[in-house]
Amino acid sequence: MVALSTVPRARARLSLPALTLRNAYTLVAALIILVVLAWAIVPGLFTSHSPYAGITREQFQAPSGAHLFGTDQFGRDVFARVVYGTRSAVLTALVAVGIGLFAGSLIGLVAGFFGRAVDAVLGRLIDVLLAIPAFLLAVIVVVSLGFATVNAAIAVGASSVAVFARLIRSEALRVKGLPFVESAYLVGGNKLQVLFGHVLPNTYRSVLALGVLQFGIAIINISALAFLGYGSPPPAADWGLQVANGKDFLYRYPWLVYAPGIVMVLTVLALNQLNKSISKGR
Amino acid sequence: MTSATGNPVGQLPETSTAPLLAVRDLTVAYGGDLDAPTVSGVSFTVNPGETVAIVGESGSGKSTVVNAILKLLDSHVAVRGNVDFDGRETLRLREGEFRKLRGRHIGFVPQDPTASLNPVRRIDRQIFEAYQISGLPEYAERRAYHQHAVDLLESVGILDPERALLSYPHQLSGGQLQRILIGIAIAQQPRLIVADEPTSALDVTIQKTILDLLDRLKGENGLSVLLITHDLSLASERSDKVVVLRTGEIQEYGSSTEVLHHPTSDYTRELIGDVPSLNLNKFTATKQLRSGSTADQPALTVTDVHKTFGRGEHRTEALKGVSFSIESGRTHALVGESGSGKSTLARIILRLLDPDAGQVLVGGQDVANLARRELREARRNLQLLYQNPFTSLDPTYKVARLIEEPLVRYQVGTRAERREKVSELLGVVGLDDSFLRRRARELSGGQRQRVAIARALSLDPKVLVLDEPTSALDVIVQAQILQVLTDLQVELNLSYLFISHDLSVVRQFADTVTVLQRGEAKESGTVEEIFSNPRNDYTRALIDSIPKSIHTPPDVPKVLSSSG
Amino acid sequence: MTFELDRRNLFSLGALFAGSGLLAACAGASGSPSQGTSDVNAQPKAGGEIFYLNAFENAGWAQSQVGSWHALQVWGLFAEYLFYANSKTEIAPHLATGYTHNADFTKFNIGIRKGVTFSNGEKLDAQTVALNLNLVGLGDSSRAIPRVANIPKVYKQATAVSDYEVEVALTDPFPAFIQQLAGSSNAAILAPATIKLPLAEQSDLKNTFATGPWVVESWKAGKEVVLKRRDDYNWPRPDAKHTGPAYLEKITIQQVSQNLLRVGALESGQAQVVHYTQPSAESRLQGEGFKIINAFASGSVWGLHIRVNARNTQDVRVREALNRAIDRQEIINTLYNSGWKVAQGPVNSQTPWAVDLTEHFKYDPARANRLLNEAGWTGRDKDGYRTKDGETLEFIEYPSVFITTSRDDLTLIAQQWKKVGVKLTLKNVDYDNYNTITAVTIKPPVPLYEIHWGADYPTFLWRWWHSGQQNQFGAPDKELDTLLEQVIAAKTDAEVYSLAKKVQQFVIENHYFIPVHEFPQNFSAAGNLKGISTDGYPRIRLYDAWLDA
Repeated sequence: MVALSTVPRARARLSLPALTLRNAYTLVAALIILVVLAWAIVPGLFTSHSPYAGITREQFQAPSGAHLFGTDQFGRDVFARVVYGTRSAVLTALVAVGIGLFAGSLIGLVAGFFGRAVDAVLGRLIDVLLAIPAFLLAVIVVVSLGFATVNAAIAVGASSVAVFARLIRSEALRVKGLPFVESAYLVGGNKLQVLFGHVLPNTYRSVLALGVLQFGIAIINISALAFLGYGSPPPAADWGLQVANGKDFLYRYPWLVYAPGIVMVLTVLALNQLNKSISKGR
Repeated sequence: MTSATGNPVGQLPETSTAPLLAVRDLTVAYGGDLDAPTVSGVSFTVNPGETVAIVGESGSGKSTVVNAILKLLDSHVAVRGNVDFDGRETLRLREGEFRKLRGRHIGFVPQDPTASLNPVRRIDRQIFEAYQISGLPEYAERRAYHQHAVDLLESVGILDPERALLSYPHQLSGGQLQRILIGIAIAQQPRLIVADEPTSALDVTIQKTILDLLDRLKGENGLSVLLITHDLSLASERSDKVVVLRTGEIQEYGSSTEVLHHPTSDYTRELIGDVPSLNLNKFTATKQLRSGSTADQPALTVTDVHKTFGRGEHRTEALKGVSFSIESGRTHALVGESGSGKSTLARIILRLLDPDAGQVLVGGQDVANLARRELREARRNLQLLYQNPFTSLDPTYKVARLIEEPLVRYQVGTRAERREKVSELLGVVGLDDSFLRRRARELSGGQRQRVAIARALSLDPKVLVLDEPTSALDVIVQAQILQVLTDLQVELNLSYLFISHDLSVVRQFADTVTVLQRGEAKESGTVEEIFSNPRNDYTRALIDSIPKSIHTPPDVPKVLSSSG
Repeated sequence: MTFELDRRNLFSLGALFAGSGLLAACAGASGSPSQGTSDVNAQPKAGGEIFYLNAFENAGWAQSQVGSWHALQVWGLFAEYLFYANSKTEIAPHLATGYTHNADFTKFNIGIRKGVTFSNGEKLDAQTVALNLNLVGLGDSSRAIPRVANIPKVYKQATAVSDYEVEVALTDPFPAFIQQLAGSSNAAILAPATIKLPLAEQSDLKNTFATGPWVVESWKAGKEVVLKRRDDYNWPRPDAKHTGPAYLEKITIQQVSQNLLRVGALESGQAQVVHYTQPSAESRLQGEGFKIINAFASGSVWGLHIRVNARNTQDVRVREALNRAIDRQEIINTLYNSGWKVAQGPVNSQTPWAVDLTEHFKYDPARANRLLNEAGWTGRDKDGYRTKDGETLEFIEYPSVFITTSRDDLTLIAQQWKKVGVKLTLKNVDYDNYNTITAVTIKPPVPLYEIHWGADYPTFLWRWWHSGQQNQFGAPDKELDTLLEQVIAAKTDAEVYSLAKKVQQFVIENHYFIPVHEFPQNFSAAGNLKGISTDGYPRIRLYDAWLDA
């Protein structure tokens, strides 16, 4: 038999400069996310201050070597509160995205894969959910569940279910028409095996990209809920709560708002960049 | 139509020996680095009234050359060399200047006609627009547009021009659309037409008429044609000169006869050896190694299968009582154009569709009427090889898992036994174990199709349905895959149902053939009978569409026809 | 909404307001520098317009809706009462001329001031007052108008015995009836045309006709109220510094809920008076020449009721530990400025019947730890909180939606309690649900409930704490009920005061209440706004105020 040559790789080099620039952004974004994750996992490594115990004689200190982001009205170290706040931000956002992703995937997958009446019913459900602004939906859910961090996560998750469902439904529709799905039936697969063995894995990349994007949106929405008082109560170290608390002192002690705010913005921008990189296939 | 006199570039008399298009040392680098070019040092000329074919496989750079000539490359792509059109350097011409040449003096016929017309505008509007843009004196009067358009469509062989003009693109067939596009190109009275695989999206019988049309128009209007194709036989039949490209470099450049008869490069020789229409007996020797058909009953018998789609006005009879059978260990071909019902039939045989009536016997069982559980067992004997290996393999799976999947689904053997079987199958299709851990997306088309064959064979089926298994592959790879399939038939006594629109491949590969047209079997018999003595007009038209191998290749190395 | 709840709600708001009034009065009495008394040399000038920024503005203004500290400030600018508490927290007549009562305190005869008219032209007389009092004391179930909960239920009937004398009859003796009436913010006297309207129309300020120095010109629900001067006004309180119309021509009251923005508007000259200044901004404002008014109402202490029917609050040792674990001075030092004081008992030090009980709840973490050990809370969880039988010693609190400073207070208390191993968990609730979720009747009861109410007279303690009234402690000892019943039965101030001290003592010794700091009604005003003051509830007084060029 004739030996086969491998795929020509020449195209990989086609647009090298553009790739590099994008990679640079992606690299910075990945670094930011790594730092944020490290803060969430081992906050103690990054600061020796307690996020809760204030030193009352050290109120409202401006950012300095001793207090990187300054101190608040209780004399608490703002940097420590930002670092310790990362865990709740990341965890609640994860829970939110998890809920949205799981419920959304299930609805979207079932709707797209089984089609017909199932799709008609679930499709209308998705439409109804999409018609309600996500943040409003989150507020409605959190008000009916009661104000707590977990409920805020559930609320934000619930508000993103439709977004995931819509994407995965269309992905499932696309994938189920591909020849390899038919081939899977031909070699003896049943519906469930095909659904979870072939359709689901082939929707994962776009879902992953959306998940990363939604993760950033979840961080914003959860913080916004906390800012409005629907999330963590004081004295929790929570980004949204910190901004809400700091806004009363914005004129005189701007770092109380800017420090957590900038961290939040950078995190979300980094997540957006990662989403771009993933959906463009790196 | 008259030749374009009185315009600035139309000065040259037709007797001039100066080339109309001269490409010299063309080098293109997408990455911007000319030391790592995609196309390098390409030179050729197109004389007035001449057809030049650029031949190459996918990735050979033939489209890049065309895009460079037509200045359709992105601005960041680095280009070096010279392109002279009608004595004028055009490569460094400003876009605004060149736009006056493109369309007006250099016409373009695209590969896929359906994608090149605006789907929401009527045909006549799109033709009129071309008239307006051309700025030619004949088209000064708007009122005359309609008559011009009717004449134009007639000249390109549209039977009912009035109706076609009032149609939208989706209401017309691919062949008609391609004729209209050629018409639009001709209307501006260009001196050169660049045709980029103008027929590869069309049915075989249509292909021939389109190429005939181009030839005719070329003669009538004194055009030059630059034909881009992957089909060497077509190139040699239709052109005066051939440029053979491979990985961006010229392998061979010369008159068609010369290139075909006296190829100087190994690549060209291999290419010539692999073109089916030039090597109709390529697999004959291998096929003779097969054991005689021993079984009493055929491996597959299809009896009087009917299938109708839709209802009421939209009712279409896709199959009107088709019957045929395949001897065990032999290959039967289903031939026909798109819409002839051959794909529907294949899907019914695999029971991906239920027939309205008829029988499909595989190993004595009527697949068409089996219950779900029995069907699942029956399918072990019946597998499908898809047309496009790029979509028929799950891109998230590794090769090992792809080949193992059928075994897992039917719970064949232990894990270790399955692993051994996978490795063995991979060997059978000519791949080694290093492929096991690679994903389908990392493989070339030929490699993928080999993996697909291994997967289809994993359950030891008796019958394999081959649905145009090579039409998405380049000539050389196609030859390799066909070789693999032939070898397997010798080894495993497989029966093939081979679905194809390419009669030269059928001639090479199949033993018996059924010709389908509009859901009816027009003719059936051994390949030799049908090809040497077609009794049916449609069959004859199909056979005519094979590019004439007027030049019998003298010295195709025999070694290529056996495994190497 | 139940009647009881409504009343309680009203009361809490009213008390809030009233408290602030009393505080102001006390502050005035103690010569607080924040009082607007330094304008003696300048000549008042009439005219001008000011902006007053409120943290919260009502959407509806029926009299039953004006109980909050926020609303009462606005209401008090155009509605007037029969009696009021002056800055020394003494009850004085305003629309009344005085009162007499019979020997067993079942009949009160109130004289009515002559020459007073409502802004719609109707005259104030005994008839109109009786009409008002009967609505306040009895409500009108046919119009779904509730009675004012602070008026004792022994109220029977008011009748005009002459053109300018009203007789109020009670079913049972209630010696402090007038004090209770004076301290009820929902008992202003309105024109008959107003109070005869259905409840819904009464809540529209367009229909509110009263006797104050300003009248409502226009209003937007939840946004603003515009007042214009009433030129024929000539019946100010006896403590006013001038007579005739007010000086300010126009007052625009707007809701600005962001603390920062209210202060910012004041600093930039867009507003002349703001309610509830952030404590952290006070010293800065003072330095910039603004006037800071911290007016302490009689009673008003910011503290926590312990609901003794809640989980883990029955043990007095635990309750004392909670009280002893709070370092009140640290709270003042951290969050407030020198104008604020630690609490000395359930009512503030300006209250005439206050008693200093500091010794019983002085900061003593060692004692708190010992008490908790004794109570069996000896285990520790991974965060260092005390446990007993696997249960963490945790109390849940919903920070008050009415008090802008309570989150910060509670945050610090949580820190302090953590030092003795007690967990204070704060939970969020929104404005609409706060009263429901913290109601005494809710099951399971919330363990802690904030107050900062004013108490013009000891009878308010009875309102708060008697198990037949608001019952804020949930299930207190019967002895407390007995004491409180004695308070309302006592016939002289001296008797009432001495009983009130016993009540306070009982409440603190049993640690039903955690006093934290005294709570002023707090205003900041532009330097050129002269003559601004507060009364005994404390309400802001703008009648004498004028703009200096």
